[in-house]
Amino acid sequence: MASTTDRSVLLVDDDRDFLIVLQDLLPFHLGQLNIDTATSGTEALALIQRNHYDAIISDVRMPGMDGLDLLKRALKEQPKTPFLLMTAHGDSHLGHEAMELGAYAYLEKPIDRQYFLDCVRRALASPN
Amino acid sequence: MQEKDQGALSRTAINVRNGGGMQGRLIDRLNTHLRARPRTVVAIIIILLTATFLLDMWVPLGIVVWVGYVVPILFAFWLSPASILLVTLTSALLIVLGLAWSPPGMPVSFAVANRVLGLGLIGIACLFLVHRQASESMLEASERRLEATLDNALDAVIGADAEGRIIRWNPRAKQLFGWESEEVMGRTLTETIIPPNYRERHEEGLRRFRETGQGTILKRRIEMTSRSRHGSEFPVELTVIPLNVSGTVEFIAFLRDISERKQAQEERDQWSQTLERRVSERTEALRSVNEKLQEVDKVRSAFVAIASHEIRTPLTSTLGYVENMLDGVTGSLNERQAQYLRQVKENTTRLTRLINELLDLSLIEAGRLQLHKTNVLVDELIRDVLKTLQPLAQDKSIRLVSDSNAAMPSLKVDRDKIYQAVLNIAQNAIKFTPNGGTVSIDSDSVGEAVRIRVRDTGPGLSEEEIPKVFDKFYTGTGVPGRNEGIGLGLAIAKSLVELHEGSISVRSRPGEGSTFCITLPPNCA
Repeated sequence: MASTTDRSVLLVDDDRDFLIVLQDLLPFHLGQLNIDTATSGTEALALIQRNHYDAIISDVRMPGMDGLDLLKRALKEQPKTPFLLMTAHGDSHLGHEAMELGAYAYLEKPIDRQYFLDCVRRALASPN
Repeated sequence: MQEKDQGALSRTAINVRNGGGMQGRLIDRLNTHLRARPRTVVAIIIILLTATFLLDMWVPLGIVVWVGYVVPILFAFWLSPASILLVTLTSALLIVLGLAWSPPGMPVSFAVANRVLGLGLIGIACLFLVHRQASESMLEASERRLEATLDNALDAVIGADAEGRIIRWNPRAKQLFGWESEEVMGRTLTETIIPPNYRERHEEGLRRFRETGQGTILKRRIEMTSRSRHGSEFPVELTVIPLNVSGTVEFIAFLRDISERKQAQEERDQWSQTLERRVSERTEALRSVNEKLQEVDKVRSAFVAIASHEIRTPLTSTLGYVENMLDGVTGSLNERQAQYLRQVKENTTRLTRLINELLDLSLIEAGRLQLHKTNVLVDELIRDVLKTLQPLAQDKSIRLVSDSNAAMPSLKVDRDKIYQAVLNIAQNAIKFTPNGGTVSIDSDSVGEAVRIRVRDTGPGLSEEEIPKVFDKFYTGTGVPGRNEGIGLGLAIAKSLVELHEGSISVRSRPGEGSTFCITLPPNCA
């Protein structure tokens, strides 16, 4: 498996359990990563303004600033950083909207783990 | 009243029978007397003719002879125009005979000239009288027609002079107001049929007309209140026409009682108001119900949104944890632990699917499912479905095959929705196909439409089951299984296909498996 030692990933989800799941999942399959987490769009935006990330993975439905809003602002701050959006069942239209706004990919929860890992691997490998 | 009759009115002097002096009365009486006794008139004529002839025989009358013969001609006026002519001719003959038989006391030429002049004069008198009689007959006929018209008119017809005194009162006026003709003739309208509160205006109107020749109510259809003999007031519709009869101003009024019409109008207005009120109440009630329904709908939507999020969130993370553990993220597991976790994963996945189906159903029923259409390659979509179902099929050693045609035209559909519809049907097929069976998904064209078929080698459906298979919450009959679901998969598939104006059907026989067909038009609206 390719090493991504110097890669940084930001995980955004108001479900702390899911953040833990992803925090354990990603390094296990993709190697060592610097992982930051945020439980709200506002918190994530503050991190994005301070740090550079090689990939941002965010849920779409969050209280306050939602994932789409975060996507728009993140692209202003870090236009080349791949942004992956996770939607719930029935929110595929939000996924389409995200793709039109410039998202790298969208996945429907419960995520297909293999597809998710492939997406993130490609995102981290993409020129940034 | 017809215009003809009104014309007749204006042409004909309305007979003002209000007692125009002694002389008038004598002439009338003589007129009536002689008209009623034609034989008397004939006798008088004969006597006058004979007397004049005899007188002429004995005392040649000369030019004065015509005077003697004009009188019987005048009497013939009370007979017919033919009688006037006959008497005139007889007089002429007698004048000629008188000249021939009695010796003239003057030169013949003078006598002849006198007689000829006399003949001429009686001829003129005859013509005048015939014309006069014809005119009088016409006048009489016209008056009779007028009388008949007014007497039989459905409206009350009242004539009044310039001072407002009644000069005509037809039988309908008597019926309407209760006054006999002789009781009202010569009395004013003010003291008979006009209610107290209208009297001043009426007098003022008369005065203004006399001064200016104008009147606000003349020649128009107006509504006002009138008064009967007994004092009761009632609404009338009337038209007042001014007439100039031989330099004298008169009015003729046509009235009708509109009490019934007014009452009907009032009832209609009342009914209309009642109806409006009821419509308004009903509208208000419906608006209120609509508001409540909208409120219920909002609450339901909020519930669905919140409940689905609140239920799915822990399910998602639970699944995540379990899958991480099965992956070995938390370390290796013994077989028993792995088995337990696999079961937890299966149950969690099943719960998630159930929640998703309920959410879909709710959105479809609320009409809130939005379609996001793109051009979709059907064979690609089928491949994705098969890929997703591979693990499920592998668990039951079911073979998944596809004979889909890559040359199929693309469809303009919401990819996720059609993917879900095909997935639901194929999942259903896998569920009901015994281990070792086959499920195939393929596509072809039917005319311009695209057909996607899902075939299985399951037990098939009976005739009773086929109509129910797309019903909500139908889970089949007597099919043992651990993943039964709540019977929404096929119902949702049907709704999603129909949202694209497509159709879905099934062909099946017990023991021969089933074939589900989705047909989609080429460019779904």
